[in-house]
Amino acid sequence: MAKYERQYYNKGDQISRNRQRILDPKTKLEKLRTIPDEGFLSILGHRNFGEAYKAVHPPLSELGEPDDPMRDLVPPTEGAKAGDKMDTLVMTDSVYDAPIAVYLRAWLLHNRARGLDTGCYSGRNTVEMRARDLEDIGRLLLETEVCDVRRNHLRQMTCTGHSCRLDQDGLMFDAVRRTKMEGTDVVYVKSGFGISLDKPVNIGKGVSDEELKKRSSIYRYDNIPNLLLEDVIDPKPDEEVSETTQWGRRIMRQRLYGNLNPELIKNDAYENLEQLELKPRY
Amino acid sequence: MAYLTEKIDLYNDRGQVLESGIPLEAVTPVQNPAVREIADTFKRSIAINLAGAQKALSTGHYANEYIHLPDIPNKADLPIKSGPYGKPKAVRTRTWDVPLVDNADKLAAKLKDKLQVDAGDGTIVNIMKKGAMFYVKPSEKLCTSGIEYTGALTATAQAMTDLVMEEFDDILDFHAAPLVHAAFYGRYPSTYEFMGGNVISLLAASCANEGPGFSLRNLMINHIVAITQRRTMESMALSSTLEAISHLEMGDAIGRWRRWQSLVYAYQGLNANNLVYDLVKECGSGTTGDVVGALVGRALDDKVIKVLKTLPSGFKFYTALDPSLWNAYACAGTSAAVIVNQGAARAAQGAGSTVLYFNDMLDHETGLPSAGYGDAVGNGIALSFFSHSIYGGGSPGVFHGNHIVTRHSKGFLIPALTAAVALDAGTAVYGPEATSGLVGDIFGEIDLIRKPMESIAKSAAGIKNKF
Repeated sequence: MAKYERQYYNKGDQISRNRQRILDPKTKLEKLRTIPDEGFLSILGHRNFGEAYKAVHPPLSELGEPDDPMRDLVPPTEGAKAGDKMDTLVMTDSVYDAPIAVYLRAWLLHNRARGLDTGCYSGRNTVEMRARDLEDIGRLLLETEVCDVRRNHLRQMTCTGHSCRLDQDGLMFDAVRRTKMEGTDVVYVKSGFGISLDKPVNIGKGVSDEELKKRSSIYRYDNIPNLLLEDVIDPKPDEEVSETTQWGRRIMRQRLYGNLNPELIKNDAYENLEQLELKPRY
Repeated sequence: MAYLTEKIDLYNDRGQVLESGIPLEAVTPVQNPAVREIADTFKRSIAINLAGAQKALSTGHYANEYIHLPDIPNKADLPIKSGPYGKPKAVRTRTWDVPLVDNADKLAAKLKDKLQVDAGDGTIVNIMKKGAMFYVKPSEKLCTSGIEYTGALTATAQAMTDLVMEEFDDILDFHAAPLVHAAFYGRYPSTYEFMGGNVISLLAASCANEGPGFSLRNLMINHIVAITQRRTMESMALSSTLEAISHLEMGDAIGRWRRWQSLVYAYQGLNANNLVYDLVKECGSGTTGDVVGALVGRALDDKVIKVLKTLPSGFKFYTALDPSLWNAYACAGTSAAVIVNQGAARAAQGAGSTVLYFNDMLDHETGLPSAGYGDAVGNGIALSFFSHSIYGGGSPGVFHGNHIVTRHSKGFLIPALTAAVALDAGTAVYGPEATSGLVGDIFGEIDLIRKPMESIAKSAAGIKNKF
């Protein structure tokens, strides 16, 4: 049979299509900026420019791996080969029209990266990987279209701010004030850990607010064009979107009935409970 | 009980067929002789750290900090070993230089005599590491006459205490008896476990179990990895076998759940129909997301699921034709995803994350419930929290099925974690080498549990015509 093509996400409206685009690894994410190595490493805050990677164990070639067919089938990443230590990167996303949202990051990473450990918690997404793999992924997260410099920030600590009101210039709130606006550009004056940088890092200009609304992957009342008051009171989302957002309920229903009796989810049998030959009140 | 007659093929970890046309019934713990023998081995295997006991008696350093006098004036001057934070953990009490290791041959012979019920009843006392260790398997009658599993440990510890008191009565007097007891039993009976004892069982004291049937789940993942010498699928098979036996013991594999649990065991643990191997082979250089695609494709090919309806843009909802088998596929996919993702990093710590997001993506890809019908998602998120940062308990290697986080999984989580720990190249502080070197040395010698896939397949083939 033909190889199964993953569907990732429905394509009902613009926001769904944005999500689909982010998740599908076959879509190449548009590169918006290039951050110089020195600046990138200084905001990441793990190693200085030119410094060697720290290792947690000797390189795999010296270590010698045990005889195991699974190890032959799964090649290690570059970082794993060199025995790099595990490093962390934490990203925070504003709820105001950011091009990516926290939970979507975990899906993006699991679809696009190898050898990672990620988790979402309270408005932030943490990624832990071998140091040099993390730097590659960090570039993907900071330089491509999934990062708008005003709404997506690298914050290794004190991540609070994703749901706070934006500054007047559209910058996301930061209790440590790592970033500031210089004209239209965003400048990191502190590293992710909140340590002042000798050389502030200019990571460029954010996209306009209108463009941001188009790129957004977050459903909000105020990013749907020509929205009328009655639509807010009685929303009429795209049919396909409303159907697929019932996923959650459908899955929960199947978990419930499946854990009661696996046969109840066979061919969605639970939909017609009365037709099943069940005891009364089952 | 009706027999589970559907046929599966069992493959090894190189993707070669071991036995084909095996009825599912033949691999279940109630029928398979090798599985029962594995349970018996875990129940009856005891290690005695003779050198450890000798050191305890000669230094006064019993059971880590058994003899502990908090404040004495000249504490710093005493020739004693320091504990953490520079505080002495033991105080020089009466000490005896008892040559236990030098007399290992004599002690082994007399120990065997004490633990043997009938001549030639399979009692084993093996001397290991030049007399520093004994591997002991007491008589079956002795261990199974009661109804609990602790008999092997208590009988051996008591036999050693008595034996040392008898053999070295020229050195040890009447008052030494409690300290010899502590040298072998550890802190018991001050603690309910045999904490710091030099008679070691793989199974914890029964009162340390979370609930009924947890005895074989109360085994650290590091131990399993050390026993199977870091061979990924063999360690997964051993871990899955222990889970399968436990689930039987917990009452989880009865009635409509018998087939459900047996399928999880066969597909995830024993690589039935080469599912896990095929998925890893297909997606080895890929990501967790690739395993989701490969698994759904395989399930469609094998007619486990089918399309329920298609939305205008082509988005499809699926429904399960065989919900129990779909669950087994999802469990096998979880393991394959962990092998692919954690194998790439050669680091175990992301196993919780992979379990969570693999199953979450599988849910949303198909509209069907994932492994354990939702358990895997809950287990994954709890494990991510409990194995990291402020909630931290340690790396996945120190977890076991008896843990508050993992106990809810119906047999599929611990094998996946075991695979991750087996693939770790040394990023964990408490890795198998740190916690389980001794266990690996002793139990890695036993072919039956070092290569469970082969032994279980072979004995399943032996009984396949019965069903």
